[in-house]
Amino acid sequence: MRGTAQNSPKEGQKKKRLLAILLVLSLACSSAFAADKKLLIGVSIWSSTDTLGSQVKRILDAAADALGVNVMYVDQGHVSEQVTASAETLSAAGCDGMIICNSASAEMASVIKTCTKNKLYLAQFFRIIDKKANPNEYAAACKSPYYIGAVHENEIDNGKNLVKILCDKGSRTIALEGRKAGDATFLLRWEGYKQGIAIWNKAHPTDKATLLDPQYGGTTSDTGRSTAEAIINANHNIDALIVAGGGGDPLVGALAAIDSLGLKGKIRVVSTDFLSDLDQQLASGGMAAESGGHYADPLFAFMLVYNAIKGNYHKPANSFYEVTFPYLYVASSQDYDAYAKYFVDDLPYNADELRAMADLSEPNLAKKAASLSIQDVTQRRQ
Amino acid sequence: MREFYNKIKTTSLFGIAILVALAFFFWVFFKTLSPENFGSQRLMVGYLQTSIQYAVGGCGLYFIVVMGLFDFSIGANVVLSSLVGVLLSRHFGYWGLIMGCLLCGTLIGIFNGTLYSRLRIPSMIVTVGLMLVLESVANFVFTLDKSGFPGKLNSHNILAFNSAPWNYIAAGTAFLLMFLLLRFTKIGTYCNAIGSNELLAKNMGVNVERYKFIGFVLLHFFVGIMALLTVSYGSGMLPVTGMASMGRNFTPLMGTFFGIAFKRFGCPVTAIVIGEFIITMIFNGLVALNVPTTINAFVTGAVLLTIVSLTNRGRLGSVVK
Repeated sequence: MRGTAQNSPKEGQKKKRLLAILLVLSLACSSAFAADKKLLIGVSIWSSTDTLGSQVKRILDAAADALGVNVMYVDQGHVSEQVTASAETLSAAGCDGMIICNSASAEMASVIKTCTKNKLYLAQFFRIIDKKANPNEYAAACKSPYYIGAVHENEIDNGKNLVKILCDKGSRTIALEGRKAGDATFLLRWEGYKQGIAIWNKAHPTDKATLLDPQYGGTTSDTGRSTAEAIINANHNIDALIVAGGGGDPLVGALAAIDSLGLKGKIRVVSTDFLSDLDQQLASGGMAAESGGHYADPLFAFMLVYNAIKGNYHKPANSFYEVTFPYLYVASSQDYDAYAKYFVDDLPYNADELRAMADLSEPNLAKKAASLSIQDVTQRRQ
Repeated sequence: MREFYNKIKTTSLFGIAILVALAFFFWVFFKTLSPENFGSQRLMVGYLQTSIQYAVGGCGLYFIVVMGLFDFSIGANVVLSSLVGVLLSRHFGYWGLIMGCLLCGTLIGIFNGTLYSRLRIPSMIVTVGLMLVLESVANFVFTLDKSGFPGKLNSHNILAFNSAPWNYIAAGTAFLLMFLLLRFTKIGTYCNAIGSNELLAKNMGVNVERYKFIGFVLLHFFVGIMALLTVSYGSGMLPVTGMASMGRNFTPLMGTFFGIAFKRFGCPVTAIVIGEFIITMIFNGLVALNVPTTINAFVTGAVLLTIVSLTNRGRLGSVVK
């Protein structure tokens, strides 16, 4: 029996009843989650499941457990309209505050407006609004009583350091694979790579290095591989490749491309965002160096918002808090072993340390963020 | 002479000749502009290797696109089937990887087809909902992988489909199957008939609902093969959320457009394979010329539109669906 005309009214009613029961059950499930009346902090993130995103989720979940807070994640894929919509979604879901990793600073005008209107405390992670490039958004952030601050890495320094590592290792023609054009973090890193090249060339006028224009490989391993292959095929003389982020997946693809072309160890690869098998890659020559470990950055944005909701932090007049988070650099498998022990197998902060962190004043929280390193965790655990 | 030309114009050889000429034209164009970095024998093999995974997906899509349907859950199926394949490969090696991808893909096709025919909602709406469901399931499957490197094929012992000859064997088998289905079974004939005039096909006794269901199953079986090739090609797969898998739908679809455009020559499979190869060649050619990716996407889109409109332009007064 197929087709509407052939269905008896009884069958139709039966189907409708079944669908209604399914709908009620799914609503009941969601209301069971909503029944809990703890503080609720929203997290607007590009993805809570990719390499970096899942690490961010892991540390935020640990902090939320330690502090008795509920966390709600919205994956916005760094699509501008979804980024701005995520603030409305989290606000409608009854969040007391939210942290966000936006794609472009222009999105923040709408996000700040939504949060101010709905009295939702807001902090950025992995990002900060640039005063010169986005004066309107910066002014809105300063003016809003609900925009608490931003936690970010010094991406330009990160870019400079990676280029320095490559040049020191002997690379002179460096290709660049980004994730997508216009991404705020990529633009800062790119600026850092260019500055790194300029510094090197100034210091070594007879042995200059070149940085090629970027090609964009998206955020998946297969597009990462095809783009890396295209770059290498088009530039036979490159001796290094920078894969600038993308949550680690384009890097997986780029490494597969280099391996398949038989160039492993001949093209030095550096990147930001640690891989799960980084130790093997470093040992086999697949990777030359990597910066990362910054998955703890959102933890400090979370703490800013948590304290703002609790009334412990009062936003400075016509300004906001700015926390700079350090990158960790790993250039050998020995470096990685120490990193893996305290950052992969475990978290850099345990529950007691997270509770103590929540009691810190803002200047001390900023110092705490700046002091995070492999040595710092090693000392705390001994 | 004119009669002979009109006769040969409708043969599959003529269609294939146009496709080969197009591929040759783009090869000459980029080779002239970038002789060092484009189009050597080794590089052409590389372009083919990149394009075949999308061509396999394009073959699958042909079954439903030719009937006027569309499926937004292809990308989500690629992600989920890949993750199931990777998970099973931890325990059963290659058998787990192959069967995980193919069976999961086919089961999703059965599920999609059943929902489409039972709910009687347009395919676009059903498959958007299913895309979200499949993305969520993929996230759950990902958490089941306790290997320490979830979603990754990090051993060379499981990467045979990453390179020749096995990737060509898998893709070649899929193309052959597609050719046999279209040429020697009722499925191909009825799919084309439904696409040309659904009401007429129904009145002629074709069970339209059944063939639409079969179309979905075949599509997702081919997507299962695409998942096997994609996860091997990228050495891994990670789950995504918020419709981020949708981007994976469109590269295979571009190949399908070639297939639809060259359907009248009777060579849709060849058109899909060569079409995807041309798209990959254009991408690599523009990278060789150091053209920014944004311009690259623009050129690829424009070329696709030009080729399809030139080869598939409807006659005056014909109805364009």
